[in-house]
Amino acid sequence: MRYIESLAGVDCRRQKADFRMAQNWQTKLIHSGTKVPGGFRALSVAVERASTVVFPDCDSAVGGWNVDEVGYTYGIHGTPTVLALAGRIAELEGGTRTLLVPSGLAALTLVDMAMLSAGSHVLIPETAYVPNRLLAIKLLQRFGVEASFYPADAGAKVAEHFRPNTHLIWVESPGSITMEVQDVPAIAAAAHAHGVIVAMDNTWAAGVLFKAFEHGVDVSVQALTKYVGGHSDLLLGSVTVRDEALLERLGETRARMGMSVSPDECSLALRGLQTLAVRLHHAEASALTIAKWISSRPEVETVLHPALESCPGHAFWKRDFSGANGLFSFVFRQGFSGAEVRAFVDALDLFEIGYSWAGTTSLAVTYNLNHTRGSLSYGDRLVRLSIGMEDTGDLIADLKQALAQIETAQ
Amino acid sequence: MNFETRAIHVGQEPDSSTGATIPPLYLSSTYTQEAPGRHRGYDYSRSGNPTRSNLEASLASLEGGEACAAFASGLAACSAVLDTLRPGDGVVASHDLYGGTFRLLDKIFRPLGIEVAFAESAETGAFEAALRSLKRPRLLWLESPTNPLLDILDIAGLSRLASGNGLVTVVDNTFATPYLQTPIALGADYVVHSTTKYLGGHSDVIGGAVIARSGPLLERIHFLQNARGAVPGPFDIYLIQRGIKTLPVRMQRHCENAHFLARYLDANSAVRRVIYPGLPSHPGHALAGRQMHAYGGMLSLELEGGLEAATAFSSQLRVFSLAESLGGVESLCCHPATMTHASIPRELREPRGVTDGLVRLSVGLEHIDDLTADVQQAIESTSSLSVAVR
Repeated sequence: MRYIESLAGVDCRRQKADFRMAQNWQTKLIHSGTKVPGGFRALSVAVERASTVVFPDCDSAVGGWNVDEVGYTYGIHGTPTVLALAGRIAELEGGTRTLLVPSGLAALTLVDMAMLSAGSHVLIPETAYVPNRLLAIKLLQRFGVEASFYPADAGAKVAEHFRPNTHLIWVESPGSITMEVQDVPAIAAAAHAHGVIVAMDNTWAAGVLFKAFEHGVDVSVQALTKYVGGHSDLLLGSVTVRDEALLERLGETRARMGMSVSPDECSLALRGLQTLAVRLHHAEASALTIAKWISSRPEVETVLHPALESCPGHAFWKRDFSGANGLFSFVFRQGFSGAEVRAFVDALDLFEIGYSWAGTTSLAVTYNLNHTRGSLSYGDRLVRLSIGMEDTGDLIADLKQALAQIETAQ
Repeated sequence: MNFETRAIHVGQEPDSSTGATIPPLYLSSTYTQEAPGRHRGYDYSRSGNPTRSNLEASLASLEGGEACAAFASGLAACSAVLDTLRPGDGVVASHDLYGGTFRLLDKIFRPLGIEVAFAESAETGAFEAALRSLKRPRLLWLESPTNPLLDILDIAGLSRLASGNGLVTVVDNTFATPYLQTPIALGADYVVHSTTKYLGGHSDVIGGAVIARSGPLLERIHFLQNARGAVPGPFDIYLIQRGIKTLPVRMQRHCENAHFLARYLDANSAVRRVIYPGLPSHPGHALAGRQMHAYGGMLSLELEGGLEAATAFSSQLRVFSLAESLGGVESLCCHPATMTHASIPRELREPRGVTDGLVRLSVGLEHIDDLTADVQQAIESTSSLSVAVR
């Protein structure tokens, strides 16, 4: 009966001092004098939704945007739920501040829009996430920004690609789909010698397996959609900085572009963070077991998993990363047609076919890389797997039966 | 399919109309019918809701039962099972029981004419004696590990005793979760859960469930689910289902952390007694080894100095939060005598071992070094307050 007794102390009566105007029930629907007891201390962060916030007086309202001093001014800048998630990401990545945006791609866009101007040049790895490259080619170039691409394995030689107007270089390590691990410290050193800002897509490392700022990165970007969310049920992006000077430009650009995020999404992401360690732990162990099993198969030419020696840049992974996750690719031997590779993926039962990754459900997807990776010749024989939280043996059995089906078809 | 795989896939088929990997939430209270009484299995969400059906399919699979009914809370689930009894029927219950279940039996069902007999100990003989004391024994109610003393009951042996005497066996599997033990495989007829705990796993939702060995056994429960109306809403169900997807990876870590912490505390001379089924000193250690895949995420400890020492220790913890409930990602500390088991009178509670000095820990997913450092500093502060700890 203890709980009922404690409720008896709740004072839900009208607080007259705060409640001068509302006389009619229609007004009370909007303006309530109800006071709920304070001191509610939940373990979970509350979901606070608000488009607008209210001010105690006019002077407060016209004080301008200065979240640190004025506090909350409008929902677009984030509610306490949003700022709680932002703070946690900054803390985990070892940055000072994080800005949240509606998707991973929005995070890439925000960095580009904040750091580049007409006449600027941006460098992007050849192996980068395709939408990052398309953003540069299809959008930024229209606004007078030059974009060019450099080989993922350039290391210190990336200096050869700098132009006098280069303002920003992207690194993505491991590279999307083909998983090349980059020598980020060498690239960062070369960039800084040229006064170029280094931005990293740090999604694969979930912000925790690779300490971007300790390796020379200036701006770390994540699609929180992936491991932080972790359950394939939200879209969010983050932009984290260590240097407060960069924050000013990013923060202002974010506000100008109206890249606000939903507190509900942030709440799910905060919930995802709580199991990030155990999910990564399982995904890493399971994916490595599966990757090694795949590499022993006669149908397979190579496995592109950063923790395996067969992966380009494996030595940098070993030097710079504290672990791996559940995402890797493998390539069928020459002679397998694209149709056969697609038939293999279609034959998978537990693996769903889909883009994105890092959810609890394992995913598989095929890529045709003929047109995007100059030096590589994986063609349309590449399959990318995102290993979820299922039993490892069940996933191997699924891969095995799907391989058997294409053998039978041959 | 193995447990981990079923936790992700059963009841979670991608949406057929959009391909969404995560099935949508069905917020509808009502369903449009083609003609009066002609519908696709759903007519009103109290009676049935697709989001709820998914959770029920998932839980039935994980527990190895044929059917499941989800409820608005663990107590609503317990209540539905007890509601299948009639005046004059008798319940044999564990000596050590969750306070809410005790209250349900003592304050709700006893006055309705249900007889209740408690076993004196975890021994099968004690249950047999309790059973013999009842005029019309119908139902055996077990927890294993028990709350908060973490006794291990022989679920298979007790289920045999029950079925041999015409009783149905109900196991509250909240502490162990189906990842560690499946009572139906051991002979139980019903499993009840507070899905609030490990299944939800994030301390942000209240829910319950009943899983039955066979479909017919659940018919009356399904009737009560609809007739009494204590059903969970789709938003809460979604969070529970989302929790289930990480149940295996969370439980592994909960068990590793709890086992390590139990050993750590056991080696500390300031702690009088550590109760954890994974310790060889635990009387149920061997049985737990046979009945469970691991020893769970809960542990209890007793500090000398009674209430004062327990209160000081609980208040000094920094990483552990002082809170009711258990099974969340965050480590929680509970003082049963004043919190979860306050509804059990002291004269009943003390002789059974739920002393004023007992502290129950729900060990979370934090780094083990931070957890050991926290209990260490709390013990040291408690000792320095010159509370009588040995």
